Amino acid sequence: MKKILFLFFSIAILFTSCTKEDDLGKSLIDTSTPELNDVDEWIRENYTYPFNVEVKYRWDNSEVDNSKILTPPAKADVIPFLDKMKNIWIDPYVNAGGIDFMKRFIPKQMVLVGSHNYNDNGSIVLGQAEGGRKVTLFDLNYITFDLSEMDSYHKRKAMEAIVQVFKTMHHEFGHILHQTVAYPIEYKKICTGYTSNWMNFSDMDAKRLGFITGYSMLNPDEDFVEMLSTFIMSGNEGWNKLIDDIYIYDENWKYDTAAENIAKAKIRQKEKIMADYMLQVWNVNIYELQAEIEGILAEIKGE
Amino acid sequence: MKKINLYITSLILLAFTACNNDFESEFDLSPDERASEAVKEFKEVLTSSEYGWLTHYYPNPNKFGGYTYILNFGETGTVSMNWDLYDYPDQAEYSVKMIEEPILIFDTYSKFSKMTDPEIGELGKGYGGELEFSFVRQSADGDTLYLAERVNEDPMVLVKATAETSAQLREYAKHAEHLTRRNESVVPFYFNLSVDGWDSSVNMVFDENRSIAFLSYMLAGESKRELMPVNFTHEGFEFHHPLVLNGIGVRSFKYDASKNQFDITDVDVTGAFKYETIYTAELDGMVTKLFGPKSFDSSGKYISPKLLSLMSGLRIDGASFKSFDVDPYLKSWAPKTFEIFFDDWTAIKFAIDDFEQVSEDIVVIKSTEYVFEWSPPFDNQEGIDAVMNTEKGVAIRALITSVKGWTIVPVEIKEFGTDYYLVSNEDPEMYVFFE
Repeated sequence: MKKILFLFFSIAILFTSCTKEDDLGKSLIDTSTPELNDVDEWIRENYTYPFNVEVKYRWDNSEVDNSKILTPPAKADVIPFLDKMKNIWIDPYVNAGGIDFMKRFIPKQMVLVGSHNYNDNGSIVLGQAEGGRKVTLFDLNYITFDLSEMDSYHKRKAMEAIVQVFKTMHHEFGHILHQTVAYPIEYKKICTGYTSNWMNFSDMDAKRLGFITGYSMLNPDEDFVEMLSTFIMSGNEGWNKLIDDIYIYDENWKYDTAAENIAKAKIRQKEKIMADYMLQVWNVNIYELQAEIEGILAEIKGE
Repeated sequence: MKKINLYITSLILLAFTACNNDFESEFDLSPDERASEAVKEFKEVLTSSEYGWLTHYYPNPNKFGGYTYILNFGETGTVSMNWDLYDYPDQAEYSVKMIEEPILIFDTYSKFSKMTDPEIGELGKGYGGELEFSFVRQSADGDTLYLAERVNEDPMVLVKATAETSAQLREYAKHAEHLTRRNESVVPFYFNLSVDGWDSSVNMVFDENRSIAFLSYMLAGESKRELMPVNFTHEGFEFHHPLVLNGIGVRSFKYDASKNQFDITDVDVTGAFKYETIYTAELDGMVTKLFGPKSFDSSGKYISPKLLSLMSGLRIDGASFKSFDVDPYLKSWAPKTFEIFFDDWTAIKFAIDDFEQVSEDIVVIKSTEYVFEWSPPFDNQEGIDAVMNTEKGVAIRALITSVKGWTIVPVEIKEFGTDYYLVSNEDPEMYVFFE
C-alpha cells in the first residue's frame, strides 16, 4: 500500500512542479566591470592578479569594528604603502620561499585604515588578523616613506612607524605559517611565565625573562611570531644588539651575568628552533630574509 | 482507505494552489532594479550642481560647533572640496551604495574625514561625525538636499552653491578672528548680545578649538549658562539653534565692520553683539572653583593687546614678560602666589594670604609681600623693588591688586581643567586667558 502511495505522489509531483518555464528575466547579479581608478588598477596588477588578494582602501563600515572611530586612508598614500609592503614583506618571502608559497599563504583580503585604532584605555591597535584570511592595517595616514627632507629625529620617528607596521604584517603572516604546520613543541618549553597580564611587562622586563617583547609573554604562539617578526625587521646588527643589551642587576645593583646569560640563551635557543623550522618546513632561510629586508629599510632611510 | 482519499484530495488542492505564479507586484520594477534606480537617482542629484553644495556640518552639536564645506561631486566618483578654516582645496573618492537605503560614502581621507578622525577633537573619539549619509529628501526647488548620518541620524543639509560661494567661503575665517579677537584692535572683553524685548544681555565667550560658544546671562534673577555650537557664514556667524528669551529667538548675525559688531539678521528681531565694558551675568562658585583652596595652578599665556602693552618693557635687563601664573593651592603646601613670569625662567611672585571674593565670580588678588625665588634677581626685596618700584611696575601692581578685582569668565565650566578669562574690573580691555 505504501509503495503505491509513494509511486502516486512521485508521479503527481513530476507532473505538477515542472509545468511552467518561468521567464527569469535579467540577471540580478551585477557583472559589469567596475570603474577603476589608477589606484585600483595598480592594486589589480600588483596584488590581485599575482596573488589573488583583494585590497580594500575605500571606507567600508562592514569591514571594521563599528565601535571604533576610524578614518579611511588618503588615496595618495595607498600605492606608496602597498608598494613598500610588497618590497618589505611579499617580495622577500617570494624570493625566499617561492611564488607558490606566497600565493598559498598570503592573506586574501587586506583592509587599509588611515587613522589610529584607539582602545578605551588609550592604547593603539596596529593590526588585526582574522584566521589568516583577512588582515586589517591601521595608521596609514601617519606613515611616510619620503624621509629625504627630515632631520635625524624625525627620520628616526618615521622609521619607527614603518618598522612597526610591517612588523605587524610579518607577525600576522607568522601566525598563518605556524597554524598550518606547528613549530616544534620544544619551543613552548623554553620559557615558562606566559601570562595574560603581559601588558604589565615592558619590553626590557620581558627580555630579562627570555622573551623578545612584552607581548610575546601572552602565549607561545605570540612568542613565536613576535620572535619571527622582530628578528626579520631588526636587521642582523639590530637583532644581536637587542639580545646583547639585556642587563640584569642583582640586589646590590651589580650586573647579574649569570641571569643575563640565561635570558640571552633562551632567546638564542628560540631563534635556532625558529630558523630550523622556517628552513625545514617552508624552505625559508630567515637570515637571508632578514638581510634582504635590512637592505630595503636602509634604502628608505637613505643610508 | 479514508486516508488515501485525504491524501489525494490534499494533493489535488496543493497542485492547484501552490504554483500560482500570478503574483502581481505593486511596483513596476523588481526590488533590485528599484534599489539600483534609487542609487542612480541619488548620485545624479549629487552631481547635478555645477558649483557643488554648501553644507554647515555639525559633527556633534553636543560638544562641537559646525564646519562649512563646499562639496562638488563628480561623475567619476571624485568629490572636490574646500572648507572654511583655511583655503586648502582637497579631493576624495566617494560612492553611493545601497545599504538598506541609498548611502553616500566618503571613501578616502580628506578634509571631511577630519570630522571622524580619532586624533582630532577628543582623543580616540574625534569630533563625532560620520562618513556615511542617507538621502532623506530634496526640496521642491531642488536647491536643498536633506541627508542624515547613517548611524546617529543627525542631519546634514546641502545647499546648492553658486559661482560666488567658493570666494565667499574665504570670508568665514575673518569672522572667526572677530570672535577670537585675533588681530583685533583693542576692545573691551565682554561680547554682549542685546536684543529688543530681552530683559538682560547675553555674554558670549567663543572657544575656537571646538567652535562652540559659552553663553551666560541672567533670567528672572537667576544665573543661566549654556554651550551653543556656532558656525560661520560669509556674512558673520550663526547659532546651531535659536537662543530664545522672552519668547524672542535669535540665531543669525551679520558683521558690521563700521561698528565692529554683529547685527541680528533674523526676521523681525533687532539687536546686536557688541564689545562692552559690562558683564551682566554672574556665575556662581567661580572664585571657589578656580581660586579656592582645592583648586590647581594655571597659566595665562594669552594676554590682551592693551595688557601686553602695559607689561612689555617691565624689565630693563632684556628679559621679556611671558605669562601670568596662579598658584592657589593649599597655603600649608606652599605659599599661594600670583606670578609674573619672564622668558628667562624667573618670576616675581605676589604672596597671597587668601584670594578674596567680591562676588561669586569676582576675585581680588590682595598682596602686600613677595615670595622670594631661590636665585637672582628676585631672591631678595631689592631685586624685586628694582622692577616693581618703577613707574610701570607700580601701575602693574596697582592693576593686579586692585580692590575692584578681576571677573572670572570661563570658556566652559568643567569638573576639572576649566579654562577661563580673567578680566580686570579696572579696565575690561585688560584680560588674560588662563588654562
